Amino acid sequence: MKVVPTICPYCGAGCPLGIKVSNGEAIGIEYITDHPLTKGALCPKGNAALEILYHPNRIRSPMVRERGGWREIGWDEALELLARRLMEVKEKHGPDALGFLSSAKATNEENYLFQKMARLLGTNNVDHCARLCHSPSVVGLRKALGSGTMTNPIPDLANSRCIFILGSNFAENHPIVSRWVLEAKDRGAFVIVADPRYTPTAQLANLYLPLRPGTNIALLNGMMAVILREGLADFQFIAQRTKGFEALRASLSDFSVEKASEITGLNPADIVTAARAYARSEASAIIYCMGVTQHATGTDNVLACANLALMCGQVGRPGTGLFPLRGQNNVQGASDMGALADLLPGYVPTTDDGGRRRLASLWGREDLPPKPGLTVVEMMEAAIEGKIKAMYIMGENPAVSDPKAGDTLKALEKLEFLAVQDLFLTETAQLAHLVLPVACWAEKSGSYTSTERRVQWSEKAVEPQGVLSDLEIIGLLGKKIGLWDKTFSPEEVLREIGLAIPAYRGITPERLKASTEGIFWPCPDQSHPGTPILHRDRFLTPDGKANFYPVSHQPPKEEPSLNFPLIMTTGRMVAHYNSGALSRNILPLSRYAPSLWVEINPQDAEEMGLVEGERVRISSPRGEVEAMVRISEKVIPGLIFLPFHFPGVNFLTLKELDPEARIPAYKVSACRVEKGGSHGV
Amino acid sequence: MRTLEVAGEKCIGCRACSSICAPLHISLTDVGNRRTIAFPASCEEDCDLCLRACPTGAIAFGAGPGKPLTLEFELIPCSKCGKPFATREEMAFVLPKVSKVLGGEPDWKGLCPECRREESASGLRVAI
Amino acid sequence: MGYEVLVRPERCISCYACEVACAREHGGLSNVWVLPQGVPILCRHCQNAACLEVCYTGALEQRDGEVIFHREKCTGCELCLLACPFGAIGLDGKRAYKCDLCSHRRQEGLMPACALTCPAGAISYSCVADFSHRKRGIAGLSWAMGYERRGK
Repeated sequence: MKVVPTICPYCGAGCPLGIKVSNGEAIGIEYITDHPLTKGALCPKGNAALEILYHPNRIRSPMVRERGGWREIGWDEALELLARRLMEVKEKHGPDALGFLSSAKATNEENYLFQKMARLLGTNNVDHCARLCHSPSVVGLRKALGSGTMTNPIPDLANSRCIFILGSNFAENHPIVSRWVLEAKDRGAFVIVADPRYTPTAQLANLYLPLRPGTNIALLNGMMAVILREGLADFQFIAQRTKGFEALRASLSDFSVEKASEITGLNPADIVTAARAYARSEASAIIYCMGVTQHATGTDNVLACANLALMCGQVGRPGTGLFPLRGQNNVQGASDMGALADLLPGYVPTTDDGGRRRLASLWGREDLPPKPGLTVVEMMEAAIEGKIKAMYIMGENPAVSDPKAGDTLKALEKLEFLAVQDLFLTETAQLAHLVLPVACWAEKSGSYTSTERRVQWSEKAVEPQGVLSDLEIIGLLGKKIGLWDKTFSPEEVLREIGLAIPAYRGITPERLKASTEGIFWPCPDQSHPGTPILHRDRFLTPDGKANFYPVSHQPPKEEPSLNFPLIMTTGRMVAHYNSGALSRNILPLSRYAPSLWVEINPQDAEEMGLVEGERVRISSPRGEVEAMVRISEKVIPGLIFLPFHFPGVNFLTLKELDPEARIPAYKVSACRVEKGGSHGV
Repeated sequence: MRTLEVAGEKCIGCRACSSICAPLHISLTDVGNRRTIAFPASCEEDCDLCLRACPTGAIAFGAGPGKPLTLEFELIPCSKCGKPFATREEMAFVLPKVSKVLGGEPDWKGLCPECRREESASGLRVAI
Repeated sequence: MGYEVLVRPERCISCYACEVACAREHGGLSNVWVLPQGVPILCRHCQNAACLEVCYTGALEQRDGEVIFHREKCTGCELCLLACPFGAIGLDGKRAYKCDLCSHRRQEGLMPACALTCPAGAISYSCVADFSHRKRGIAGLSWAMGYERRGK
């Protein structure tokens, strides 16, 4: 028996997961106790991860959809078909008629090769679900600090004296973060949680701020107004390390804590307490998540967080910084690898001629397409309009995860050709013409980059049965199309990544395999130890200074109306994972919530005459879904909460996009609740 | 023929004999607040597990003609959630022993196991 | 001083990691219950164990500060369930079950799964003396900082 070290395939925390292997079979998991992040801990999803490996619903053979149903075909035939159809569309309609969705669940190497394939085929229409969770962080924090990533490692939170948590329910979604927040609290840190819903994370707070949905900027600006009025800003830091402060000060001159209170619905005294605690402590950190990003003002929300941190000089030291917690095991890596429509590997804009040509020459080309491609939601719109004719989706489930998902279904059905590569026959795969089964995390090796920028190697624990890894499939496909003349090992691709991305230059397969705790990028050369804390002496902007961008509150895109009097917000729950493909059929997890539920305040429930467990129909101007009522004071009156892990929830959400980050405004929609689902009570 | 001789007055209505009987000759059913235990008249298995499992020595084997026996018990409802959870006789058997260990009659005696879990959790939360 | 599974309920985030881990280690049945208010309930291995007093077959036995359960001796009578003050014993159809402190793991020198897996550090496997010392320190600091307690 041996224990093979892998990285947990669920959230972005990057917890190590040991797999006990005996005679080539995985027989259990073991906790890896010498890892600095987890000290052995795993959340329920990590504990149940092995269920994925031998799940009876795994697809084991490539399949084509025919009138009579699915027909299994051989790998060679499948790859031949995929290559032929993609090339047919390219020849007939040009490369921009192709759309590629990469995967935040795949390794760095797979993402790198996938976007390379798309770009070598002549299109930047390659994106992935980072667009739907943290694209505002990528855009906003890059503008403000020069890097769209988390500034400090998670265990460094223990050094914080004040932790301000905004729109993050990490207790359910990144449970390991709780350990370090609680550690800080044990050492006397003051913990503030702002969230419209009283989540398990809010229970950890010294101060809980139940702000109205979509009013983050008002709260942050209110805090900044207090800090300026009371002279609590770090003027030395502002003078030495930032630009644009005067514009920010001017923008806040007519804002006050009273106005903030009016917009957010919070007690002004609480805003003042939060502002003082954050500004005065010698090390304050901001943790934020999708409650900040998933708005039409997502980028502005992120900028407001950055403004607060910069104003108080709370960046670049232990215990400080900004912590945008990422949701998928490799969403950071997939973004780093350039699986984004507007950014090449290493966050080089496609429009940057020098950077693009450098990459092109590495790939043996003169140039690559300069025009930014279509993002996740835009690809679906283009498909409806008939501009995108064929899509190749690797390990994503947009039929469940896209906003206004009714449109996504239409788009996918309209495609001339859809190929989906996944573990299970997901809602999206069911619409495909060709389905390719893949190896899961334990059946392949490669590197993953956690939300902390920690790059770690995950080893193959068992041999895949009947399936190929994403890397093998892309390699074979590219060979068939004639993009390259061989297939690649993960080690080979990681070495090329080192050549393409300066921040990964010192990260080699040998170093990763020898390390128990991974390497934090930027790691510019092989003797560099990695960079756990960013922005220590200079920011990653071209001139080394951080930038203030004044932002102001804008009302959400949709307000409650006579017909749709309630506000609906969505989020996650601990036992489920994203689109549910990796939890709804995993019994040890799904038993905690087998079907969709909706949280309603007792007051609203009484007005509507609803009882616990009753089935209701929830509708928005875009669609409807049925759910089971859970009456709870976790939500304020007028607000309902739905976990988005179930199909249908996103039939209701808004497709309005943030103008810069192109993220949909998932978090606030108007809706109504009616008694009685179609299946009766 | 080996008959089953059950002393009804000794039986406390626990689950021992029905749980231990592999061929399921002895059955126990809870419906509402009634527990019914049904014993066959005789049993030819080469086995005496029920006899050995009975906490009160209510089961014996005999010879000659026997007849099936059905015992009925009332289940007491949990004082919190109302769910019937134990026979009166079981609690009468358990409580004196528990009181001896704990030095007095416990205040949770009317609670079902789930509600005891709930109560001890609430107790811990209050103590924080 | 022996090691025990100790709980800091104020740290519990109701994530159910302990339940899922325990179930995996014990054939699909968890010996720990996470209550909605955020407290994991499991056998406390009492010194004055009420369950032991009602068990008449020797299926429950006290040894080295542990209450050990021998499934092969259990009749499934359910009397120990009725005796346990904490509801920490379950009935799996025909037999009782309860926390065994992961005896199979400890034989390999490993910690009980729930204590190791708890992301929030609400469950620990440690000496009572160390544990209380640490808790008192934290309480004192919190009092000195003037923070309110928020036990909800």
